[in-house]
Amino acid sequence: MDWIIEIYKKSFGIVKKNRWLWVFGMVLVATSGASFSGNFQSFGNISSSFNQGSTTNSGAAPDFSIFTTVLSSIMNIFSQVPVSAYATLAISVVIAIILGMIISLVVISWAQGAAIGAINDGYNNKPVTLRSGSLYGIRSFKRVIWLMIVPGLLYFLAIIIPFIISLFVMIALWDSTLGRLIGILIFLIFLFIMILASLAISASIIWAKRITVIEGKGAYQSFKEGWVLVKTHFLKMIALGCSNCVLSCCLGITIAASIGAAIAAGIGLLSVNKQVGMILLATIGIIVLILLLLSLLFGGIYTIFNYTTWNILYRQVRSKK
Amino acid sequence: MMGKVNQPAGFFIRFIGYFIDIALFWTALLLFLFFSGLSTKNLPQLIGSSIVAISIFGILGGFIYYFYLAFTTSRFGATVGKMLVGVIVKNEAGNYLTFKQGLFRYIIGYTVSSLLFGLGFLWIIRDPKKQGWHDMVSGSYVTKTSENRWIIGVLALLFLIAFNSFIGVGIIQSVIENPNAKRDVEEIINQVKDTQPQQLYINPSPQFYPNNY
Repeated sequence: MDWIIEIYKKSFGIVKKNRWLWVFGMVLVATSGASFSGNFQSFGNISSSFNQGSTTNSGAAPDFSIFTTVLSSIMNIFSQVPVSAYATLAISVVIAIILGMIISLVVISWAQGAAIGAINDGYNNKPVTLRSGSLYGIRSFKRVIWLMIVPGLLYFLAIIIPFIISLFVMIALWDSTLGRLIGILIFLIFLFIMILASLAISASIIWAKRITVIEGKGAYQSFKEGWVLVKTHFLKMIALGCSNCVLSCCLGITIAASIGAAIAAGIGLLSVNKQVGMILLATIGIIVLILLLLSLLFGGIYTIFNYTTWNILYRQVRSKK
Repeated sequence: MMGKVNQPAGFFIRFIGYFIDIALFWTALLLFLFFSGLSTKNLPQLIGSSIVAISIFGILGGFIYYFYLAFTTSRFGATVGKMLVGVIVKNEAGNYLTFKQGLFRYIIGYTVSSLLFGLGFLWIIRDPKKQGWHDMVSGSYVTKTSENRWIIGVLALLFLIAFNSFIGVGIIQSVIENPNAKRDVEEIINQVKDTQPQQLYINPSPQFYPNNY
């Protein structure tokens, strides 16, 4: 496990020294997860406001006659709206979705390429700037997009479809005991292969992205070389991946536990001394607010730290070769 | 703020240029709504033109806006807003940005700069080369083409704000004063009013609705 600690130390040093890397980390965080949480948040707001509205009217018996009348009148008016307006709306939505997907794909792949390239410069003790990192991203974003889409698609075709077939075979053979056993066996074998292949492909993509960005090789070539690297260093990758997961969990639990303990202490103090308790709770509130506002920055730093650990392992593995 | 020609343009002057472009976009939207509002005969047509406006300016607006920024920057070296304040965008070689470089600067660059409450835009203030994060990632430099043009920019921005407000009021008036749309709305209100007694019957309250109801 010493080699993992060594990687963490080096990674921490690189991230601490090169602060422009944090910006790439923030872009990665913002483009990969923020939009989803935002959507759910807004959905939550809508549902809560809807619930609030319903509770304020709960005193009277529900009467839908006005609602029905208004709705039918509005529907009547909307039915008279020219079809061309709806067609324009539908076309606009489709174009917006397609363009949005293309843009987000380009931004994510650019950010990944830029981060990997800039981290590599940092590892080589070269100056890291937004421009130098960005150039890596610009040069490699098409290849990174290929790596983001094609292996996943191949995985789907090569693994998922046979897995679904095996599921059907199991259901078909369910009547007899022997058939049931064979069916379960086939299903379990496919399940094992699916998990293993999923891990191997994900690991290959991790290497392939670094090969294509740092060494400038083609996407397919990088994926092939990545696959070879996975075969020889699979356990190391699993160890680092698990270690990173544990680290993430520990960080999350530590932050949540510290905030929880502080709130509990504040509530406890409130019963003893109201003023001190209030001050403590207000301070905790402000700290939590600052943490929330700067969550993108902290998330970015952690993401880039994670990327750096993989880059360092990649360099170690590559130098051995 | 009032530096020499060909020197890096500062935050304030670029901020005005940025807002002129935004105001121009709003002018286009409001003019569209104004003329479509004037030509509509009834409420369904008004709703139809609003749907078209939302589709073009609301849903596709962002893409059209970025296309406009990239196109004008690659073709003329600056957007209308930047031209008015007298600044120009160039790449590392000292040429105009290409269309692709423009798209990159405005889509990816602006995304980067808008992180952490627009810290990348505010970076222009402290950077010695007056580069924001979007300039850094795209390798662009914004320089002044003439001195004291920011005054024209401020005046243009004020004019656009006043003009947009004027059109905005005009749109509201044209909708309110449209007799057919008014009639359609009144029809809905009347229909709602007609259903009122039914509602009262469903929720009887003895002190308000005596036996003769």
